[in-house]
Amino acid sequence: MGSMRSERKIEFKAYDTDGDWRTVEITPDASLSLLDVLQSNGFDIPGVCGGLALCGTCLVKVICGYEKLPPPDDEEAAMLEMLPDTNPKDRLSCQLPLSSIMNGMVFRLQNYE
Amino acid sequence: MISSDICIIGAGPVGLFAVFETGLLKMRCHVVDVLPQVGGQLTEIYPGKPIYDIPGYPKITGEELVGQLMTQIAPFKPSFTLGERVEQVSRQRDETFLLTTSAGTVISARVVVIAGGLGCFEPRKPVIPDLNLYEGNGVAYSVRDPEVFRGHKVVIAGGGDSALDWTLVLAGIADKVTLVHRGNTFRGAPDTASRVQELANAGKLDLIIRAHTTHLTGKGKLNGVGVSLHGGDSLIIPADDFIPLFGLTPRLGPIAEWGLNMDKDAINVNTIDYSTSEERIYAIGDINHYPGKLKLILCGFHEAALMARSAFRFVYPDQRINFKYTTVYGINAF
Repeated sequence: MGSMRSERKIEFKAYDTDGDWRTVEITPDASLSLLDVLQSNGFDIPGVCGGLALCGTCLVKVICGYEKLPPPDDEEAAMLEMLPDTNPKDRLSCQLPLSSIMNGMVFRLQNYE
Repeated sequence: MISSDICIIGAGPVGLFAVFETGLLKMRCHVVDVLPQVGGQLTEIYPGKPIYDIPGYPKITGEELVGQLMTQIAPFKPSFTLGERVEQVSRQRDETFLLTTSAGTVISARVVVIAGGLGCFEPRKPVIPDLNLYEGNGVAYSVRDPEVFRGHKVVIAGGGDSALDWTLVLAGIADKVTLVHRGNTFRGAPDTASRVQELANAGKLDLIIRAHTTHLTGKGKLNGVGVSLHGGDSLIIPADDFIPLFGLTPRLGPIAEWGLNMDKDAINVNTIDYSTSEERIYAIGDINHYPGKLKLILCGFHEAALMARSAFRFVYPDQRINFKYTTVYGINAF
């Protein structure tokens, strides 16, 4: 009898633009982006270009754990540079695959207006 | 005044294909888009990216798809108003609509089809107090006529291609150009970036990197731009004009005020024919919402076909509609 390997779930916290926060518990899956998970968990985050790093509307500030993330690739870096009011710890959530390194991390949705 | 059977708002792929589907049913279209070119998101934000889920095309770029659509709809001779935003839609006594654009163009149509995608692409604005108070009084988000800036002191903010391009153009026209950029490198075209650097080295423009604009000064009319250097200092640059160039971002725009039944930023439609809560107004493509909605180009194409069939009765109230395959009847060009 074989058994499915069960991935350990991770937990991260996200604040919305009103300052309300929720903890999201989920199994890591690199085919999902942080944006996908935030949207499916009811966070109001636009992500209008659908994950192409082209609109900047899925911006999040990484409050805790920024240094654990791989650096932005060229496309994400270009958009981060284009956006007028980013902070050094901002990332595009559409470019962050859901992975175990996100366990314990804290994000804040940025108001893209 | 422009007169047409149908006015389509949005020249993205779905708006363009709606010209084809309505054209098959002998209805003429006028298409309006806020962008200066057709193609919507495809042309504006990902022209070179491949799309893999257009039926019959294993892989096609946005630019190619728009080109194919323009060829496909050419027999139906659509007319276009580009670079203008539809501000108002008002229903007339005779049940037609008058649409007015941002440039004052007036379009009369029996049916309105909103294929507005993500909404209007508008300039991304930096967060600067009272920025809006200076719009038109020294703050502009695009350069239409560079000559307007002749002899002016101009501050440009941004680090992308358009910031670099306009810095170069205005450096030869304005009295003084200052480019303020948050980063310390430019990701725009390397040639342009190095020319900006050369002009800065030659003292022909001021380049301030690792800095951001913080506030504007002037009473009613701009006279300075506050800049904070990331090293800690701050300064005010005398300026007649401030041009923030941070790319475009989509916003719903005036559609929200047309009295349609909405769900957040989407227009609720009846999936029988993609009609909105207002008779003779349809919404197709990414702008609409219904249970099970998928924001896919191919879904928008399907919606356009059903919309066209429904709209027929408003354009030709005395005629019966017959279902015809293009394979059997071909394309009857206008």
